[in-house]
Amino acid sequence: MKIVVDLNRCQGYAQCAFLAPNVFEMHGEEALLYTPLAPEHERERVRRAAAACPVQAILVEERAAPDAP
Amino acid sequence: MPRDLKNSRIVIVGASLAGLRAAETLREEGFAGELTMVGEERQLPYDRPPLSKQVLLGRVRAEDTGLPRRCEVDARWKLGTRATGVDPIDKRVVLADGDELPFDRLLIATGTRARPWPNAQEARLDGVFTLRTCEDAARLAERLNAGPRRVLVIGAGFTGSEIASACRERVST
Repeated sequence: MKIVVDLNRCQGYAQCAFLAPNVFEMHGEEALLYTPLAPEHERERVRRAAAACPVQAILVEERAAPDAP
Repeated sequence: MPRDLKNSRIVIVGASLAGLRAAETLREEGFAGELTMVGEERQLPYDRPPLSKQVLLGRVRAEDTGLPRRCEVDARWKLGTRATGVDPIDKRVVLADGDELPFDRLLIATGTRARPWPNAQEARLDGVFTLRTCEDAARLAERLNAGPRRVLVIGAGFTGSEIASACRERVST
């Protein structure tokens, strides 16, 4: 599952790091590190993390794009 | 969206974040015509910020940074092909492989590029890298994996500083 975080929007609220700690991790005080290609079994947690983000900076791909060459 | 635009031919040069999001927005707004995406790199659109962070720390592979899609873009992808020119009279984009793409509308979303070392011969020396693309990051990460004793970063802006801190962090963890 592909994930992207808009780091210009991210303010380091860290809600994602609490809800999906295997995918999102705070790096120091305010920088976020995340796994852009997360395992499928994390989907529910990642979805909750994306929904909980106060600035809605997380985009999760629903399914693989069928037109990809 | 006006009807003449809705069923027209649109070419987007630049198959990264801006190009992809533009393509998605066109489809979301009801564009039903022919959409072509041209990208010099071979990869499908990917996210660049992790290249100087997670990738250099060795936590994420450079090729695993593909961008999620907001919707299907139903495009024809011309990847690994550089656009070399545009004929504004005949409305065609000229590609490096000699192919020409006719368009009704053209979006140029080629972004920026790294400023390479000015002497091309020196820039090709073993162990000299620029960091802009996914391939650049993969090569640099591989070399950092070997645990170099000295690293010289030229460019002390944001990206250069991130590279430096990734080097330090790899040692300390």
